[in-house]
Amino acid sequence: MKNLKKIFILTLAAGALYSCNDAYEIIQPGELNYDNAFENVSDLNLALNEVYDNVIAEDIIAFTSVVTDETAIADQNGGQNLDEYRFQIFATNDYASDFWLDNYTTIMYANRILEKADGVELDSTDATTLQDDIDERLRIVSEARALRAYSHFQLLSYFSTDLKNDSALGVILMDHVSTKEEQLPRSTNGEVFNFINEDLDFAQENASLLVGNGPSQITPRAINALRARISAYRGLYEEAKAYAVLAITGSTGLATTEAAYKQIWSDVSLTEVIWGLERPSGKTGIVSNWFFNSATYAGGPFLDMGRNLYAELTEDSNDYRGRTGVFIGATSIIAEDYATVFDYKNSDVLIIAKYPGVSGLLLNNRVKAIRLPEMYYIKAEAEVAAGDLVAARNTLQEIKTARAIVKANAVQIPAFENATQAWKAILDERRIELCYEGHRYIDLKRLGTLAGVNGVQRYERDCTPYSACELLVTDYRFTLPIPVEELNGNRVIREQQNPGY
Amino acid sequence: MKSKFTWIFTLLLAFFIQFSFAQEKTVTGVVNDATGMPIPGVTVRVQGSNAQGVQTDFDGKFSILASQGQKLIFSYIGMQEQVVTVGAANTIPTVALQEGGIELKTVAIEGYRTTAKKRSNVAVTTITSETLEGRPNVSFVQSLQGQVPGLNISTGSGSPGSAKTSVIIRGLGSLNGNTEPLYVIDGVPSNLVNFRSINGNDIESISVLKDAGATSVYGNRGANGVIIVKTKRGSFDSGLKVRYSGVTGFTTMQKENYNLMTGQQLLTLERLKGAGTGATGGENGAMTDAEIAAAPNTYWKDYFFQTGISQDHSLSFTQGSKNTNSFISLGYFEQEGIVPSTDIKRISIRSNFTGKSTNDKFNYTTNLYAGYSKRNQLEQETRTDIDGNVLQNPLQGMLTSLPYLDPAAYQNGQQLFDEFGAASFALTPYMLMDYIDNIYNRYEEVKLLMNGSASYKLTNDLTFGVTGGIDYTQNTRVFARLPQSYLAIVAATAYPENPGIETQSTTRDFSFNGNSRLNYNKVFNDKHSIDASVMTEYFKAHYQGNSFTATGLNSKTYAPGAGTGYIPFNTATPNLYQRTVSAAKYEGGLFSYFGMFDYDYDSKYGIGASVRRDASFRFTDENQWATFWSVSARWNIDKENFMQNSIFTELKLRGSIGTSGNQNIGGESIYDGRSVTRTLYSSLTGYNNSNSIGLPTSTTTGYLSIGNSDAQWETTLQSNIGIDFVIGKRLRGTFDAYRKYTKDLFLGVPISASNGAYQYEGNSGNMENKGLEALLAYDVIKNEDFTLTLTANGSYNENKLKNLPGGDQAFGDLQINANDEVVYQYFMVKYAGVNPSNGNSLYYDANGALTENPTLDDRVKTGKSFIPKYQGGFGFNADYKGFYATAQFTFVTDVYRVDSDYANLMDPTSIGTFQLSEDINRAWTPDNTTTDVPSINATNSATDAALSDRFLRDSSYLRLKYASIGYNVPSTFLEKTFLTSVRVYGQAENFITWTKWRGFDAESNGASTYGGYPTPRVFSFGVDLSF
Repeated sequence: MKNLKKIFILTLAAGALYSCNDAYEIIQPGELNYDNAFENVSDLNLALNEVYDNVIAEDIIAFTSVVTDETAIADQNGGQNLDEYRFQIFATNDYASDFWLDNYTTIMYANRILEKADGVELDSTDATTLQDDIDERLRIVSEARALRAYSHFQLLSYFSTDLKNDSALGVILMDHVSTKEEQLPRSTNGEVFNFINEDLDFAQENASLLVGNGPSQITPRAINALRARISAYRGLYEEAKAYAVLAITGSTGLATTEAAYKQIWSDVSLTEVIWGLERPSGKTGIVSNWFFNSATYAGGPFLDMGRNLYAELTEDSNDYRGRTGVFIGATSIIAEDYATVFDYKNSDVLIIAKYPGVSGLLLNNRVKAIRLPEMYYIKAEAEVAAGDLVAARNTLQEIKTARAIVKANAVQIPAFENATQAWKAILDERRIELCYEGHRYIDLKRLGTLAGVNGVQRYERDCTPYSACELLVTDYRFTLPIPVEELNGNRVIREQQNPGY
Repeated sequence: MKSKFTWIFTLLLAFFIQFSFAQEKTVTGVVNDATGMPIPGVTVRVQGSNAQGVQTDFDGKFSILASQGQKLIFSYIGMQEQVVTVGAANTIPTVALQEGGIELKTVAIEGYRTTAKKRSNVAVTTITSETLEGRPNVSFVQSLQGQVPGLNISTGSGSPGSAKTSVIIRGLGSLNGNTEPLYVIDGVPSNLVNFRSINGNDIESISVLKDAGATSVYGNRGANGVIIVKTKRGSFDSGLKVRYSGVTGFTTMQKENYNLMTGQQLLTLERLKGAGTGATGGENGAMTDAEIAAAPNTYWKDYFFQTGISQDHSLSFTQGSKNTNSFISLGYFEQEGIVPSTDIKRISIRSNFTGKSTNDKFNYTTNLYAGYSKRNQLEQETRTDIDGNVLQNPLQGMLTSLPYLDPAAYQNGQQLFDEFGAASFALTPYMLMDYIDNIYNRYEEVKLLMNGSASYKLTNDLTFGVTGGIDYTQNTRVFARLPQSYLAIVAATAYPENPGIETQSTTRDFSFNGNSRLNYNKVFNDKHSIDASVMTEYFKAHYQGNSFTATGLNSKTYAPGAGTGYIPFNTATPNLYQRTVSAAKYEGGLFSYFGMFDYDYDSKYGIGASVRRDASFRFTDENQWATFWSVSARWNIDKENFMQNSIFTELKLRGSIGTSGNQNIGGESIYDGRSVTRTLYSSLTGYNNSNSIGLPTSTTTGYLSIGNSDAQWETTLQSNIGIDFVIGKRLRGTFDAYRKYTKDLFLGVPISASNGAYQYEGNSGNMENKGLEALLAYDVIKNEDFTLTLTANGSYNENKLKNLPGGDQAFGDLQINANDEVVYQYFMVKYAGVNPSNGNSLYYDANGALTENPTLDDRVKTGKSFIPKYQGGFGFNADYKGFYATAQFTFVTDVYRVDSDYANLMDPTSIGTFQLSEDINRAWTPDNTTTDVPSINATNSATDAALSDRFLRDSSYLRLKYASIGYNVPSTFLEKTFLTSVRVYGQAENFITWTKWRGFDAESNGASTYGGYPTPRVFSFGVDLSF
């Protein structure tokens, strides 16, 4: 028993002396602290990959297609997107919320690179390696700033009531890494555009470092194209035309055959793609905007092509865009008597096949963020704005001809009698060529009134069962609401909600 | 550490005053029950002495050292304690213990100690083995339902071995953090939250610690209450006792009340609506009456639900010598779920060993438990995103499948694909039939609980003790879409020759808990007793997990989990046969030191206090350490002279106040939110699947995680006042009133999206729970042949949120958290009925005016929540000459849930695609304008479920949770056999439910049931033999 006693006393002493810090001084295995994450230029490059990865365009393409006249409710719809289809858009709308956050996330990641870029260690082995690192860093910073500009512009496009008015409310201008406590109001469009221009100017100054980039990254051409779009949306058409011409000049040109055109959409070819977002396995699939499993009738379409868009696409039998297997899926169920068939929803299912998926990844396709034809349309818009209706017609005709199966029989666009006709033609051409690329919503808003188009152009049997036939281009819902999540976390912006919400 | 110990040591030593004791002698005697049968295992101890006491042997005999004039206390679980004064003789008269009803009357199990019930200052309710044994529940926790006031148990899934059981003591204590109590098993705090691998038959007692006086000593793990589980032990000086109990039963589905349509009814409706087969499937377009009459009518319930078999066998051996005793049990449990392909099988072994030195100074125990369970469950159980997926959740099968479809159209996955092509709603039942057969989802769980403790009496009053224990859980999962499954085939269009995927994952969770303590226990002048302890506790937890997925299986060689049949990855076809791997490793730890002090004066007045310093690995700087405290007091009023002739046999008033914490702020597991204080970058898969670095995603907010160095534990301040009483000999009860105030709720604090997130994880907002609890038991009849005891308990809890950051916070579209109102209340547009003029739905807008097109702005706070306000249970135990009957009812009221399944069955846009409820035949028509069901052509029906409260239902219920009848064969019949006792019984679990809820199961721990797995009814028969 004596021994036992001794053992106990020893145990007690050991317990008392035992260092217990290991129970609460714990850093999890493999942690990388933000402050240590940026040590050299390759770290910056890794961070840049994350900026790109956060450029998300699928959601806004889905939103645009549902809320305008590009889609209709398909037979497999179990409630998907019904709210947006019925124009039920509130400050709680998920698309508005995701779109706002996604773009600010891109901006946040870009700002983190900009914050840390100066502090990274450069390889000073010799003058060459040093210069290489300096250049590489400059390239990364240029791309980060271009992406930051792009995201700010995306936000402006959907959240500003009037892009042509520099004093209208824009979005939050974020030029640094935010702190949790920070609550910033919306800046004016003018302020945000100035900021965007500074970023793009900077990137363009370093264009020589960007020429090696492919179309999946920011290239000098992509910057010109983006600036063309920005200027056009702002109504600054002289600038817009100049940038559009720059973006067209030296490009690979338009696809002129059905085969070549289809290769763009099946991601075999990069023709016409000025900036395309890569979507390999594991990434969001754009096809899931409309389908459960694949872009076929069997693939579970919950949204299909609006009947009116189908009519426009197929109007010209010499236009390969209207041929089955291009934009219209080969598995479509097409009712001849669609106007009278009893069970219209199930009897007329027009498969959206612009994004056919790629082999092994039936839901994924490259997102064509900027495509060459848009530059032609911007040029045409600028020409209408400048009063040159003939030039505008000719510019539109270039695309029309490129899309003709037999070039000799290409439908000739008649001469415009007035600007309204010209605007209408541009809007209609854009509707066909740029469908499902996220343009229609903004196009209706900015060109609808000019073109004499009152609102969304849905087929009555597509919309009547849902009481969703009319949304005027002047409606407040052509601007997205500042999402309620932002209002919750940002007191100063609460007074700046868009009208109507 | 050392200096503090030394200091406390000295202080304690200074108290030592040695009293001389009267001459001790050996006292012997016999303890019987009311019928005169000897009771083995009764604890006999000397009042005021710290010795553990002795236990009666097989013949009820005992011998103990005591002096004349000292009082011997006889206690036994389920019996009333008795006190006998030692006289001059060495033998005391036969002691007859009286039965004490359902409650462990005499001993109050508190944190880190056991106190005589009369001398307990705190709110504790204890349930003993009788109410747990033989119950056909996988998890013993479910058997506690409705038995403890203030303890709310709700089960969200009846899948065998499901972990979806919520256990909440005195209202929800946290929004994002852990809300489950701390479980302490045989003295070792455990971070486990499911008990599927624990054999409930091994449990001796379960005590629920509720007030701060009891829980504060558990520091930053005690805020949600503490549940103390003690397993069975042997007793010293007892012969070998073998006990076998076996229960066999079957599980069936509870009744739903959805009025599903027949094939004919649905086809007729489809024809009317002009959608689906009824409208187009006839020879000439719409089906004729004759065609409809000839169509099949399938009861899909028969395909998606079943009657399962349940078995539970347990064999235990108890014995004890002079200085050692042991309890060993073996268990086998098996239950088939009510959904085909779901089941659990479990084997377990427990060995509890106790030993002591001859002089009683040294005591030690070891408890070893090993459990192994194997279960098959639906993928839905762990994937909430497919709850509403009619193609991947077989629980939707009965409610969505069109009754006019012929089940024979399905033969196998390949045939289905060949005939029907890709997935579509038209395939619903067939895909689900295939899913049940060909989606493999098996879990194997190994659970080891091992602990040991030892104590040594340094002096008569001073005891040093250590306890150490480990808790190890290993889970292995094999999930596969078998090569022949439809889902595999349909997904394998690019590699049709080798469809299928398999995922294998393993997690290992290990924790160690060590406790060392020094206890001083002394009685001065017979009247003043002091019980003081200082302790340290060390806790460390380690988690590791890994997982891989292989795509492409060779159907000839593939066997689930075997690794055979994987198709090698080929760089030439990088999109095919991909493999993914992942692994995880986490650590967590806590360290604490604490002290407890109790003073009692003559069992009449008592005060207690505790203080605990806690360190958590989760926090930094000044938040790393926290202090929690409590004080409690009691007054045994019945001991006062003025009470001598009152009706009260016992009357005790007690009160406590104190704090406790919740450091598991990120979720149930200690590992959730483990890096919350730091802004981290992690390796991610970036653009075009290139490497990248970026912020990780927070599980609390769902957004990118931004470090918050100010994060800290949630603190609960709780005050409690209670009365324990016994009136006469027959009525006993407890009343408690409490207020719990939780500060610094850990939640997503809204921030501007310019941070790349809408929320960060922080402490903001408070929550209050106020409530009343009562527990009553009344022996209506109590004589030798017949006893009848009625029991009842109930509680009321009011939950309110306070000081939320940024005011109201929407929680999804239809729930909101608002200040001064109940948590997670529904936030919906008020449904007003049917517009008689056009059959559309009508709603109230925010101003109370009628509208057909409400917006989100018209939502109003309902004050209704899925957290019940009132809950409790009542029942009786009757025993007549060995025949006995027990019934236990449970109820919850003021609880609301959304009946999403019913919403789907009433959705007119589903006509033609899915099954509907007969109720829709009441729909508005121009000839039937006064009705509660909108027209089948209503244009705004989508709003009903998306925005309005039309399908928000009262899910209060009263349930006969448990009923049992049985027969204890009188021992006289067994005299000539080797058996000492025989009991046979039949019992039913979830026997009858009275509720307005129309779905499968009124009970759930979630706001809506959407294709959920209902808890089953279980009927079983058992036999219990001892020899």
